[in-house]
Amino acid sequence: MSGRLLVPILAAASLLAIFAACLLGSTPLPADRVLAAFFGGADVGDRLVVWQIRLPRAIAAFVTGAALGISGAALQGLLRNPLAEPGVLGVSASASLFATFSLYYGLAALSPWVLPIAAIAGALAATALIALAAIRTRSVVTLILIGVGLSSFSGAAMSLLMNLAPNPFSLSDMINWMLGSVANRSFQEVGLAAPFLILGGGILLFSRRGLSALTLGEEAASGIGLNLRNQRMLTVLGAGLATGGSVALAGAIGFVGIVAPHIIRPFVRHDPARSLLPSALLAGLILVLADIGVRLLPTSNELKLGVVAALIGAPAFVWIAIQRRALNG
Amino acid sequence: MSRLAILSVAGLCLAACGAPPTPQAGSTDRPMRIVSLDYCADQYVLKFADPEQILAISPDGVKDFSYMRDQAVGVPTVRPVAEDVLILKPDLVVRAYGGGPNAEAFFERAGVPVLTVGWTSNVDTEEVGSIPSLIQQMADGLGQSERGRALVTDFRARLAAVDKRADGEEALYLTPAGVTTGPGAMVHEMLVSAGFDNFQEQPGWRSIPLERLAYERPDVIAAAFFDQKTNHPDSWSPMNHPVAERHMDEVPVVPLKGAWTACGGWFILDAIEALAEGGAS
Repeated sequence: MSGRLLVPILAAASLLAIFAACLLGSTPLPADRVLAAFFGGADVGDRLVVWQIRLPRAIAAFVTGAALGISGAALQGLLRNPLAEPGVLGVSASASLFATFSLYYGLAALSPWVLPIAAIAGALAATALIALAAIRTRSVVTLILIGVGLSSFSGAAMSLLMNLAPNPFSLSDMINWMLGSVANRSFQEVGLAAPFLILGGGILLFSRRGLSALTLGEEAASGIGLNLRNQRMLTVLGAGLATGGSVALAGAIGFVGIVAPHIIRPFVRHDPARSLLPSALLAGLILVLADIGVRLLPTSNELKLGVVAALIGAPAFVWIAIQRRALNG
Repeated sequence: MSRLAILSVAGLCLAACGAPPTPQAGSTDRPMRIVSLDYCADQYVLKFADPEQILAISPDGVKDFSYMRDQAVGVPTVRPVAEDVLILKPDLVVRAYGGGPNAEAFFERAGVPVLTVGWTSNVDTEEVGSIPSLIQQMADGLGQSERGRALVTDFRARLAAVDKRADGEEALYLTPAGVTTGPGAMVHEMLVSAGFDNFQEQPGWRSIPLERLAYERPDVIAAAFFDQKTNHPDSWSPMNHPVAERHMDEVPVVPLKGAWTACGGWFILDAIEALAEGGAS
């Protein structure tokens, strides 16, 4: 597959997957009725099911994946490390911690925007910390370890909130923030996260050229005129906004930001700048497919999307890590 | 955790668990140092026992999901922790789930008789697992058989007087987390006792059928626990979905207080009466 065809193929596959997601649900709906409902035909019930229940859920899965994929690809370019990803670096965990905190201390009741903004603040705080550490240390292992530390700290703070949970209902909600899910998502929630996702994705795409320069190393990149400070700020800001928006929509979903860029990289000759858009599309596609899987599995409790993503992604993470070791000797 | 556990187990438990051996206590030797370990047991202890019989109740007895919370004010409380309870030297421990699954064996080893609140599976259609049989079992165990008989008579009279819905209307039971239940649960028996058909036909506790709600609507929504919605937002609850919100706006809603259904007891009648009347308005 040539690099040029990559984006159109992924976009077409994503559209197909979203349509397939609209065919599935507790009420059996044949494809012709779904199509009719899409274009305003069919009866009111069909239109409600397709437009208000199934489509928002599929779109939520897609944009969540896309935000995590593009953030992962950009962070990997910035830190020059294929293991960098919002989940591994503790960005998602920190965003979901801030979101949960805002919910349980009543801040989220003030305005519907408080929740996404809290999630984004959490994501930005974690991303900024990682970027600061990246300036001070050249060791990739140290960076990943700082990320793991951040992730553990957010997990511990989350456990503290769960420990103090006033009742079992709050507890199960908090667990959902950690597991990640797009169940029962409507266009309201997608709309609240959308501005941040678009802004974050836009910043990352706008600043993608610098990531190509960074593959030469930081000194060489400055040598050819890259403003390192600005590049770091823009990538951190973009990844923080996109990841925070995705967490506000679906909770913390890990690893998809590693898997998608890893698959894409060989097709774009390992150029981080060119990997951003295809990684976003592929990660979105993966989550839509994973969400279809979640709904098809005949388990008594619906599996959480984040759990399935982690089950696929964590082995991939280990595999990539082993490959790197082989490369480094 | 415990309240959810009780709810779900009570819902799934089709047959009443075998009635545990009740400590024999006639009117002459009624227990005088009663300790109750959870709010479910608190209801019966506060209802039947004389104040001088009660040593301590659980800290949840005064919470707003406790039906007898007014009577619980000022009664000493104890956490359901074995050593805290034993140090009080009780002569009867009353519990449904308090103290954990090993509590009954533990207290009996320590020589303290345990009165267990049995499960209920029907309002009053069968002898086993019915609310009157539980009322009587608890009253006997607390040495207040006469009060039990009076409450059973009153319960049956009120139940018979319920003006049942007779038009085959469908009711959907809902909680803030978007959970409903079908046949086999006490909630189902409650809807049937008020004369409704249950909108949810599948047994077990499950998420509300959002897609089905896009096509059909129940005649009445029985909204339980919404009075306790404070401080437990559920970010993934189907109740936040526009399809469910429209139903809450457009279908007559009968609010059920958490205290009526959180535990099996005579207070379920308040819910049945509210449903039968609410459907009429």
